[in-house]
Amino acid sequence: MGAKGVDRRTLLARALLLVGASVVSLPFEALAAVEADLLSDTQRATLVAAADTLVPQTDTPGAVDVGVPALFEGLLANWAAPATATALADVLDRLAALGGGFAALSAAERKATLQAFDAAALAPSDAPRANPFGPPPAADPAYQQFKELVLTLYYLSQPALTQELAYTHVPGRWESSVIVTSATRPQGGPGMF
Amino acid sequence: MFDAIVIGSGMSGGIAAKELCERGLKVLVLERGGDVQPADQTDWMQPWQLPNAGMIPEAELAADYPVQSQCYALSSATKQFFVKDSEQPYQTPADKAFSWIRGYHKGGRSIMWGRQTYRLSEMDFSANARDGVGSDWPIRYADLAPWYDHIEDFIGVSGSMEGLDQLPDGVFLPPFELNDGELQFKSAVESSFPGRKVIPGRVANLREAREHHRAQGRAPCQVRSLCERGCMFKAYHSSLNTSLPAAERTGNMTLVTNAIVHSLVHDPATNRVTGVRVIDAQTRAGTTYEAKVVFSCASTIGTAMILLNSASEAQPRGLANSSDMVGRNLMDHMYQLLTIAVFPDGPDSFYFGRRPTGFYIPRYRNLDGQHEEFLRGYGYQGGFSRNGGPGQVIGQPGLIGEELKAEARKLGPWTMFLGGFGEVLPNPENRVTLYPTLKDKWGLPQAHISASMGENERKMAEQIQRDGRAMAEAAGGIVVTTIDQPGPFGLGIHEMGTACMGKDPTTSVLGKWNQTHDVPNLFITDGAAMASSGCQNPSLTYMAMSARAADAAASMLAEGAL
Repeated sequence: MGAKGVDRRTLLARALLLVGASVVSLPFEALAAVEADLLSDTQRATLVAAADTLVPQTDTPGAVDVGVPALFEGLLANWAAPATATALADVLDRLAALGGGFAALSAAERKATLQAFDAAALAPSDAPRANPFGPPPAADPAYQQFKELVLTLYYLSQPALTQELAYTHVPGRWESSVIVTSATRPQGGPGMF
Repeated sequence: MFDAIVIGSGMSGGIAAKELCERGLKVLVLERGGDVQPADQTDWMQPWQLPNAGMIPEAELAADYPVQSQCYALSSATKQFFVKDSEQPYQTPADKAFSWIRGYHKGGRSIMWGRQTYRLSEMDFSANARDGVGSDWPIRYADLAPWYDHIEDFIGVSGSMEGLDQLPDGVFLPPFELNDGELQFKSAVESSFPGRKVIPGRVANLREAREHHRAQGRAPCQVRSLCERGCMFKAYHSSLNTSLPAAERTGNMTLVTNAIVHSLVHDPATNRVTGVRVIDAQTRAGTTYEAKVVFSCASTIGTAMILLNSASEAQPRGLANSSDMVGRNLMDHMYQLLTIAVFPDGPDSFYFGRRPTGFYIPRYRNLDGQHEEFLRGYGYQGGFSRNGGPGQVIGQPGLIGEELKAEARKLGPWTMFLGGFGEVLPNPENRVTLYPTLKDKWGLPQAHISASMGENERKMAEQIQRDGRAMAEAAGGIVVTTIDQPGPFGLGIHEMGTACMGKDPTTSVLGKWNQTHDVPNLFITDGAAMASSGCQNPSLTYMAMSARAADAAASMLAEGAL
């Protein structure tokens, strides 16, 4: 990892400290391939705060614990086309402005603020449905994509798949009928049926 | 000189090679793509190991995979199994989209196939004769039935015995049973609509590994639903993991990769194919391989292109094309006619495992005569799930934080996916030709594919969607999404028909042994051979025809008839 990566790691660590997250378990190798700083310090701090607010630590790890901010930056660098990266950065700018500085708000303030924003942004839209398997069209498609990416990264993580959900990579058997109990969780992972 | 050359190593070519090798023939298999290494199969990847969360970079997707990306199976874990559209161009008329989904590598599309495995029935083989459409199949169900048995036993097909004339039973392993949501749906559909059946999807995944499967190094299906990434357990049939290794074990197979077929060499004096001209995909060096018999299993469009590019003074319209039917009658299945419904009163139960199939509703229209406004019929594939998880929370405005996590932990409502597969009629105007000017990077003419659905398909699609909604609602479902237009021609990935079988050499390309009418030692056993499409997934039929034709060719060769 080059010097630039170290800088980014330091910056991200600083942002993470704002929300009290541990930096020990982060998949920093996700940053190794990042060539350019795609986010400003404010955008990065907002990303960490928004991910933490969307999926906080509870009795299981939250989005920051499993490294979603770093993975999200990895997607910006390695997956997103320029227009998508710009739209997602714009979402972060809009989130940053909430409450006069989103990252600096208390956890309770962040939640109340983001919840109101989220409710308006995801209000149903009359736009045609592009993907029958995806979520219904929303008023703010860029924010919808931002939230979907954060949730996707979280629920693809090993802690979320194995602690929040009941993912098994090799189920090994098909049981067509299983009794539902209070401990039953969705299986997560691929496969439609 | 080889005894036989098989062009293509995919679903059909793998079986042709195996059957010819097992009869003692020295066989050369030509594969236009590269080899596949064990590491190319990515079923070992945990979800958190998927590059870019399974997504191909957007710019790469737009530049290299504009067509392939229409296929559900393309992801960052499978892109090595799909061609880059940018490297393998073809042409269509501006108003007739055609989605040509391809995988050029050892094993071909059999690595990423959907594995649904159904027999055609007597009704299907007699359909063209009955309706006066296309060419009458020169075979009937009884001709192919023992070869269906043979293939099912070899590849392993899980399914239930149902006793239906329109969907004959076969040599089955136990089925992947319907889950409780599906059983409730089955009960409602079968009582509300007499004659309709909801059965477990028949699938080429080993519910059990029998002795002869274990002897091939195959293990039972681990119920992961990672199939399009390959399978370290070899639990589903693919040419890569099943047919080609069987051919290899005979010691009679030579397989050459990166071997793009340019054309066939035809000797007008003997009226025999004597060899195959090949361009090396990497070095562009030319080679001609010689054999006594040639099997073209290059896929429906690929086979048509090879025949057309083999035109000569003796056969100016293309090899084995005196009928002018080569390239014509391109068919697919109507696909993506989708109904999604939720069932609030579904049973309070769940299931374990990610089953590699769902349910199937066999054809029920026009079974005993012509009753509808359209010819032929359709079936449905579908399934019920209770996915829950992130998909359940993303669409709920204002749901964040602890409440979001709590909601995502819940099982979702029973949700049904129901997709119609409709028969497409043979139409000689739906055709593949060689583009007169544009070439690919190896200097070969690009395909020009011109195909569109007709009035029969339009009427059938409407009925498919009416029936889909009616069945969902009769079972207590609330329809949340429908797609009322079939996807682009080709996206069913069941393209077929461009060298049709038939009794009459003036209107068909192949006779009853998949032998070209015009050139006795040239056989075609891929989808090109199909005279009609049925509505069933066709790979099993291609494999059965390949085995049957290989047996016939080996006998003819032994008798000196070729």
